[in-house]
Amino acid sequence: MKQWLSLALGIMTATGGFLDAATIASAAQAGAQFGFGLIWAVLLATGALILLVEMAGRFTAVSEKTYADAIREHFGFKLYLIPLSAEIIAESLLLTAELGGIAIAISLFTGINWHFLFPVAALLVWLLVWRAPFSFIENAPATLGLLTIFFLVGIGLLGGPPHALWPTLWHPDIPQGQMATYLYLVAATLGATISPYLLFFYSSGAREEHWTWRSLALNRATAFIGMGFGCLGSIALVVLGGIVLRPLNITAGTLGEVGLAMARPMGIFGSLIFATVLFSTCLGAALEVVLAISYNIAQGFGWEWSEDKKPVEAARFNVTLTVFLLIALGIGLLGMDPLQIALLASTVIALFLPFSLAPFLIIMNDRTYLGTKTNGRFANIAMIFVLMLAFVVAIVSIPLLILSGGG
Amino acid sequence: MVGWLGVGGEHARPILLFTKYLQVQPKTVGKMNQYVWHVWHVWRAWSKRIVVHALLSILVLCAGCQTQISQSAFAHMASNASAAFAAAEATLRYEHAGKITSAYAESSFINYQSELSKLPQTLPAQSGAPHAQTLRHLLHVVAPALTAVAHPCLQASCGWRTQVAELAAASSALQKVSNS
Repeated sequence: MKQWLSLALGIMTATGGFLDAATIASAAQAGAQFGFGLIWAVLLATGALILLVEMAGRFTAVSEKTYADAIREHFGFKLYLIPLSAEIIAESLLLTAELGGIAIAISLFTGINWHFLFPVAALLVWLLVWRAPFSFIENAPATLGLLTIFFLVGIGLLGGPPHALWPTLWHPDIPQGQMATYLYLVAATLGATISPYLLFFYSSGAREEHWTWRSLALNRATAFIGMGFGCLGSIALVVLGGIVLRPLNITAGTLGEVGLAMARPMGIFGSLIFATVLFSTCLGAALEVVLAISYNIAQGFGWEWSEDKKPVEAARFNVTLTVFLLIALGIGLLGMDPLQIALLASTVIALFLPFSLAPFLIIMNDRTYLGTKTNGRFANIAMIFVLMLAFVVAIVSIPLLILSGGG
Repeated sequence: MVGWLGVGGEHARPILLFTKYLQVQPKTVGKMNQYVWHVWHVWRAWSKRIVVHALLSILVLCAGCQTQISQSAFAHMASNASAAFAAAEATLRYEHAGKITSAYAESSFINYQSELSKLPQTLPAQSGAPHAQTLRHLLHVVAPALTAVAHPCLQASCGWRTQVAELAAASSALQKVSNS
């Protein structure tokens, strides 16, 4: 019974980690601008993420070390600084976007200008990471995130996708002059979905929960079912964007517009469901991002760390949490639209992906850590493919951002 | 190139010094060496074929490609503004149809205002802008829509239908000019 509960909780965590402001923004824009033409990118990103999450969990369960620990031990501290620096830059932007997403979600409920709610969002996240235990952080926002199932209900109430939209699944309809935007959204989708912070958080979370080799089955189920469910939510947003927003010439340039796709089939209930999903997924993602950065730094520098320890017992870890929230607050108070920051963060993540993912290829084949549970041939081939994909995306992400004008 | 990438001997010195500086473990250096050596072997066997095929592919793509990759700055901004006005129009209609709350609509319009308030100043300055007469006509159509975005009519008693029409007209005009 306890194992089933752990499985359910793990799936909820995976769902909450998959969807965030960046994923919601890129999925809705993809559907609104190109119909089903970017679903292949969502599926590709999901496959890569399942592979990486399974490996991160397997590594931690068997070796009882986190991914960050392994990078530092295996490659040395100086080389470890490269992925760490990349993560700090990318995740600072992403944290700002998630805080903005929380502020916008509260704004959709209250009508108050989200600029005034941004510090409230930062305070809420700080209070939770400072006081709440890991189990609450892991499960509470993710439980609300299960409301994404209503996206599928909305599609059903709309009668499903119209026949004219289906061909865009295998033959994307790219208007004249929109190729750069299409390719930019591909890169943004990959960057938004394959976010290294999820791997660092997942690996550290597995240590927080004292996973061992007995947790391998749970890890695999979490990776496949949890990420699969998250992918379903993302694809549902693409479909809703294609059915509702595209015919209205709406491109989902702001997060509130995405909710209109749920308001059409389900009225006020649908729009509020969307606002709740936005709140819970952005809150969950903000908690995971700020914890991931702090775990990464604390593990890299050999500090005490754990969300379940009192702040005084892991002082530097908790100070790091606070510092990064202040940095995100500072960036956010500049007033940039959170959706634009989210897409920019996805691009930056895509740019730095190879630095964060490359160590996997060596660590997952090291019998010192994994014994007989190292990668098989298929996993290694898949990993090389993911790395090659990450390199290509890293090279093209900035030129595409410039050519497309930011989507 | 092969030696520098670290098979052994004096040519391996740069990579060994680099890895020593980074404090990478010797077994990791060995593994990295193996990967690099293998990749180098494959590259030597296939490089000519890869380069020829890549060049041919680029030539074919360039010759066959008649699609413009990106829009002009003006067309891009006009297209985004058109979409924002369309979203504002849909938001106003949905609010009066009872599909979204007033708070939701108010919050949405705050974001539309941020996106569109500087349009009359920034749009004419973009590269690819049409001639002055077209721009004047366009801004004339857009002006009432901008007022509607700044002061949306969210009560049943005010002229919200007029605002919906103005927003739709602005969206349509901007879309037309971005496609031309």
